[in-house]
Amino acid sequence: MKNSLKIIIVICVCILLYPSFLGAQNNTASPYSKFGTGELASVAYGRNLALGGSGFGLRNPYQLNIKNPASITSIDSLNFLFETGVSGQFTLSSSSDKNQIFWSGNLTHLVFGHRYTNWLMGTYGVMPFSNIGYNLRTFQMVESEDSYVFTDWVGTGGLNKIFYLLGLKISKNFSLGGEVAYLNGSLVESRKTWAVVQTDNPTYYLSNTRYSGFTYRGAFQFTANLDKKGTNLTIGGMFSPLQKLSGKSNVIIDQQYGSNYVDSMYYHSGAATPINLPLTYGGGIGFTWKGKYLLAADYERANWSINGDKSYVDQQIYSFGLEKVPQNTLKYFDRCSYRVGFRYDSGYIRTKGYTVDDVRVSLGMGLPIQKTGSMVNVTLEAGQKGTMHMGLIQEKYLKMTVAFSFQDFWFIKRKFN
Amino acid sequence: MIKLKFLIALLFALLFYSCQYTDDENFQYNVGNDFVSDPVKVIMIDTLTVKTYTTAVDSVNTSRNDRFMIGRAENMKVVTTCESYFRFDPAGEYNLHSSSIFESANMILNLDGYSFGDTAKICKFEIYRLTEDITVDKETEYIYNTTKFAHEATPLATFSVDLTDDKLDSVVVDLPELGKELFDLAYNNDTILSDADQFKARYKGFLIKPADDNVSSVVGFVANPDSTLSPKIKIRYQDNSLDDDLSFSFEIEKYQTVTSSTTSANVNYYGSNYFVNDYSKLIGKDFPTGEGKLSSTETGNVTFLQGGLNLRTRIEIPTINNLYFLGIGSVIKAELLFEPVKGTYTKQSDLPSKLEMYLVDKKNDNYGQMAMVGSTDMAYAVLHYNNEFKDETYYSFDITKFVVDEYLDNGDPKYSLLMSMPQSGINGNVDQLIIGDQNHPTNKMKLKVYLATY
Repeated sequence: MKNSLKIIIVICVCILLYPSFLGAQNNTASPYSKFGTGELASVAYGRNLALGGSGFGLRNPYQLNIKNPASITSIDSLNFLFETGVSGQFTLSSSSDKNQIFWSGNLTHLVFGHRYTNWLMGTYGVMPFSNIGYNLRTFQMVESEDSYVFTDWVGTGGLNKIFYLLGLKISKNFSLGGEVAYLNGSLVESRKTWAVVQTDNPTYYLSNTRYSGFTYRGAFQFTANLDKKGTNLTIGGMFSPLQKLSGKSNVIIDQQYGSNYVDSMYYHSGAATPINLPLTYGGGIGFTWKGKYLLAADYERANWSINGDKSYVDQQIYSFGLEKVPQNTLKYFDRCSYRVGFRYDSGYIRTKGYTVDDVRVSLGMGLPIQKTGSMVNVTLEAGQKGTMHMGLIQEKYLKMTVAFSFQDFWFIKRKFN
Repeated sequence: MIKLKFLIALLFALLFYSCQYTDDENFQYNVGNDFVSDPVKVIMIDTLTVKTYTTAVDSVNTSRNDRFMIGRAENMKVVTTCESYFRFDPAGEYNLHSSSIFESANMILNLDGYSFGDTAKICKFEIYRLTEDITVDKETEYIYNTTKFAHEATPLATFSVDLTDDKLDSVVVDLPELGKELFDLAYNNDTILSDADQFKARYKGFLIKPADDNVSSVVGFVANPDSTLSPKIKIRYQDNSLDDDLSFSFEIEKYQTVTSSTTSANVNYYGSNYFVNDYSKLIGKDFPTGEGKLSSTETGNVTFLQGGLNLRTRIEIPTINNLYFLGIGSVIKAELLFEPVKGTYTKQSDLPSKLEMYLVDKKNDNYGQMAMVGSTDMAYAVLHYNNEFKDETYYSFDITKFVVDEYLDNGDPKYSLLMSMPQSGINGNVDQLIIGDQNHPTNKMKLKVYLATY
């Protein structure tokens, strides 16, 4: 009973925290989040993050790897897992004439894993899919007059993802996995346009587009032990079909006069242009050498250009990671994991002839919590996104993520209190 | 359990710590149109037709006013003539003896600094005695700028004013004959001096007007009966005493206080200004009054505004609905820009610093003064005087509220605008503003409408 009480408490905490995914805070401060569905959030956390985001070929008996649904069958000795995390990010954004510093951060994910049988494992949770947070100022000239018009753009919102993963162990070496996820959320943009000739009378444009839709993923994983000292090779792959997110948008245009008088000029509510979440596929390997070192490498491709808009381009992601695998010894620091990673994301947005790519390196540690088998994964990422060419913006960022992985040993142990 | 609580608390702590903030309120990027482009465009339209007219009023009340305006001035072929009518109360205090001897008598007029016209020219004025009683309108108890009272054929006295003399602050006019007559009344203790009505029946009043052939400027004199600087007739006499400054004065009639059940007002019954404009060189007729209007096309592409006579400029924007052809949008600003016609002013003080705008219907009936859009503050024209380049002097008038209302109204224009000199104190000056219309060759009026289209 006590055990289930704790689970209920944890679930309550999660319900309490869930709204913080829903745009209550900006999870990003990137002008590039104006495009598409916003800045795409990481698809996996904890260990994956420190390994450059790789994970198609990773299996771990104590930690969830939600990048590959087939991998969760590796959790064969635990009944229940709970993972969550928080992140904080420091961003230095530079345009050709200006530098800005931002701090942003939030809860990264809430994931629960359940083992139903020795061959069937389920995982469900919630995490951001994309984040929007931008503040821009643009200017134009009045038509037929030599004076400026400014526009202040503020974007908020983003899409959240509620997902369910199922892992099926077909044989000792081969697993299949699948995911169904429900995406929903609002892309909110407010624009204030004001002419220098009359700054007291700005025009406000407010649009709120609520998108929702389901996505599906299928995955496999194959493992081959190459010797008895713990050398093995895991190959994984993932495939997700094209899905359409339909949306409903509300547009309001208000004309303000003076400090407190507003004329409502325009209101429109209707179907929004659907967003095509592209066909996505990828594959990767994980090679463990004598139970000591792990090398992971992933490749992923998403055909965003299906959206037909020139600003969408196909996205390719290369991820590499190296881990010093924890050893079962009495020395605490030998029981920690040490990870480095590299990731190159070609980006899915093209603007002014430049694709908004992203390159990052990561460093991480997995710190076991005393004897429980639970773990705290600390990851530090440093990266660079975008370009300063053509009046665009380059972001240099440093991001720290702390992810917690709680296992049922941790819950069970309390029985002996 | 302790550890669980600790971890939950830690989680919360981390969550709140990670809440986003920025280091600076002003954290936008100035990225221009390179990055994203606002579909809201602001268009400036200056092609709407603006029709302008001059319209006059029947009359302006000019009694109960603290200024007498006298003189004649010409501006842009319009000749403005101002005359003043007033009368005196009998002298109140005097102490004459049998040995008192009349010495001299003067009418003293104090300038109050106001002038309109060509101040370089000498003003020639004439004082007449009235042969008709000064009367007020029975209903309103006012005298109007159109009222004249009969006077003697020959002037009692003439005098001139040279406004180029900076030190000139008063005018002293000899009135020997009239002065002797008034002295004798006092010397003889005539009962007429103790009966104001009888006195005013005999001395009906005075008219001061410019000499018929004199076109120079209009000069302002102090006329507030409570002021010691108001017109008076001062009579000097000698006595067998060492005091060589003996005098007594006939002062301008005081305000009479009329107290009704609701109000108590000072009413100066019998001092007034007569104003008239001669348009014979311009149009050969008077400007229409009431609901009448005369297009600027008939007056050399100019319109007039003037105090005293209250000439006003009616502004019509008949094609305002054309803004709809530019798409869905909103008016963010509408500004009327116009210029005083070159040659009709020589210095900044010739130009009124402030103009008012009224909403009127087809019959010039007033629907109230125009406010600023989104505000209860009244809208006024702003004079942009350019000392260096006078030709670049102009007025700007924010008429956004009018254009927004007409634009939102969506129907045919119901209202027009009437621009005037400040209506408060309109009878205290004859300042003139002559502005060019949309087709004036050099001083064109412009209407700029800024439309945000989406």
